[in-house]
Amino acid sequence: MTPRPAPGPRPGPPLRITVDGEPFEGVQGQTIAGILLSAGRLSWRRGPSGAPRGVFCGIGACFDCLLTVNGIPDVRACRRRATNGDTITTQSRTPNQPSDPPEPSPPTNPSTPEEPNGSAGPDTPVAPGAGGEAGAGGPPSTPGEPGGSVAPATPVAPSPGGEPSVGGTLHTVGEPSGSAGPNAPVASGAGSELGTPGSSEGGESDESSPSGEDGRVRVAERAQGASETGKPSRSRKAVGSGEPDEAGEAR
Amino acid sequence: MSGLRRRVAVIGAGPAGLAAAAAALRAGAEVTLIDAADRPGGQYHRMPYDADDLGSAGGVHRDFDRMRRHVLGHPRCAWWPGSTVWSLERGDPTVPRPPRVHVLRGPADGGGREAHVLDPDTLVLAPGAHDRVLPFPGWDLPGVFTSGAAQALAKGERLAVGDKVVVAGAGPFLLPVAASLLHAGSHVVEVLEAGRPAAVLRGWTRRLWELASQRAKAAELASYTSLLARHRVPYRMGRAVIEARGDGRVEEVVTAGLRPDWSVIPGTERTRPVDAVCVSHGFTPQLELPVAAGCALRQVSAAEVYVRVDDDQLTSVPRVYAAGEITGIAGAPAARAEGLLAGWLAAGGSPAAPESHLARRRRDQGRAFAARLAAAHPIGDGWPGWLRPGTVVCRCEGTTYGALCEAAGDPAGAAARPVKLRTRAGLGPCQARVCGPTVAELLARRAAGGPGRPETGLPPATPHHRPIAQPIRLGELAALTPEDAGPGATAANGRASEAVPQREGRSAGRPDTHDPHDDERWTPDERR
Repeated sequence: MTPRPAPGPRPGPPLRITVDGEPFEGVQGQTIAGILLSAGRLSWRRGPSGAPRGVFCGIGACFDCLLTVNGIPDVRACRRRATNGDTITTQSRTPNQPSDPPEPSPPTNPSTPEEPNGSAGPDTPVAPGAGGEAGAGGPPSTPGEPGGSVAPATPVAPSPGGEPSVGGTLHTVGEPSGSAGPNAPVASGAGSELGTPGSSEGGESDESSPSGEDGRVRVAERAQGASETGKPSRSRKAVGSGEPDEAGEAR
Repeated sequence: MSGLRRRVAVIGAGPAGLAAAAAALRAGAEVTLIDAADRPGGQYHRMPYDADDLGSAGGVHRDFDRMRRHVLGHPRCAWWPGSTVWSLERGDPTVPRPPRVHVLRGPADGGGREAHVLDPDTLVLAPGAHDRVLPFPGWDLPGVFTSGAAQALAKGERLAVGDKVVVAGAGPFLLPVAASLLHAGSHVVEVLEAGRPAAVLRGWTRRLWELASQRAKAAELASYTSLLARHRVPYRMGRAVIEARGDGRVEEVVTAGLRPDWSVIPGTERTRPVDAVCVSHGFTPQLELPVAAGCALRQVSAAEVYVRVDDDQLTSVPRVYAAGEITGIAGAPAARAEGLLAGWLAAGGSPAAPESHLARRRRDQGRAFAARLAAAHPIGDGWPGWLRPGTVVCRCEGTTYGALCEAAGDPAGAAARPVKLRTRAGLGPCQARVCGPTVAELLARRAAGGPGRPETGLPPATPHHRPIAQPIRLGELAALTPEDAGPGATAANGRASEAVPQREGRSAGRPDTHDPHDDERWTPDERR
């Protein structure tokens, strides 16, 4: 069976993780991908078409191997070192379809435990992996938010002071809040990132990047996850500015 | 800056970044060395998770180990492992300062990582590269890995990706990958080099005298080939894996003979049972940080873009240097030399100093060697012939070749941006890191609107613009406080401030001439 551990010493304290409830044994220092592959598990995620995905690039570039670790979605299994007791669930981008074969028991625990402040989804990733995925089976990894109260359609207004109202922060991300103040990097950078698709191509000019468009595109990604669970897609129109609504024509 | 030590931030601790740190320390700077991994080494010097050094791994790795210990143990070096640079923030364009560096420290992709901000005097970018893999039918099946993945899993995780493995693609990197697989206990069925023997040999043998300066690299490659020979692993040139098949995972591959342009020679197809395939057709530089910093790029072809640097490794942005694969795929020796030069100059070392000359010479030799290899292993133009309409090109979004062609054929929107928006190619979680070069090349061939053609009112398209260079979570964003944006400020706790080299507070200006380790300080292997 492949893959498998290579011969040789394997020091280090043993550890145990669970993936969709199934226990896996590993050793301190191994990545989650390393543990799963060692156990012969080649795939654990599903793409938009339902195609299985596991490790491809192995170094954090391809984002094929994403999974949800202790309630935090979109963690690259090839980069994340396992810690004893990690509770892991698999993810899927397939619309209206649960994730990988070993069907995850619907989200019981994952989200809440990790929430620093139950309010909004602090663990929602803002970059690449961001809104794209509905985590194993539902609510917990709903793109918007593990915590349960996503501040769904919170206004897109930039939170000028940068106070960490999480909901606001998300939107700040999509917002051109100038380049002053604490939020600056987040605002410009994040905004564009969110929109990597359209505007971000530019290569130059962070500040001029029409983050409205960015936000829009990003939101489109979220929307697909959100729609799965009936969450309101965040502020699509609020962000979009005269751009075609990409969510609609996304595919 | 007279009398004060320069503060140099080095991003990436592979061969280039570590060398840059070593050289900057030698020039007297305070260095912050940042890497996403737990340990320096990058992909080339990757260490097993359970080992303390690379001691058993041969010459080049032993040298790296010495440099690693020297740099990490240096009192003027702050080593930041597990640190992700998620944003470079450009400031006032009239002030010649490098961008501000926004870092998250903590478990990969975790929530609640510590946020830090660095305001260095100079910045050295050495983020490296990852595999470039051309698509083929079935390349998205589990069990198809990049060669880099096989290498990383074998070296870092002591894991064999399969029992019966075919290694395929182009370039000398296939050899160490096959060697790693053999060490890990796999049966390597065959190694397939797409280049035809004539091209490969011509590339390797021209200007033989250049090889003299690259003895170490040549010897390394020779050791791989002899290892393959000992294990009776066939190395076939002019062949490729053109399809992977299986039910939910790879079970067999179809290989075929290739013409010089990499189109398939009909009738040469062969099916081989395998449980893993490792593919690599070269490397793609990780350009998001240089692009975020505003560095000008150098476009070699539709698919190949690098950071433009001058003879001193300086980018188009003042005080921002680049080293290693992002300036051109040239391998570890060239990367190391570029790092030495970049670090030395970034720290204020003299461009006329012997160190500079030596590093420039080594860099040029390394680049010449790399150019030779690149010439021996060009990517043929005929590879799209392997594709079928249903072949996935963008793994994240599942965009097929057929959908791309259809979108590109639409005269209304054949340019890169509309095609992407329509097909979603490159818009998934990986943000075009994997399919970007492929899509750019395919679109360029469709001619209707090459990549980079400006669309009205928008800057030209490149797949490398990712202002959030790495994922950051909402909670982490929310936790950023106003102080985080202050110069040299750090968040989360005060611990980091001691790691941030401070402009004041350290004895200024005295050169390190009395350091007992001084001669190891430059780089151990330079003394041979």
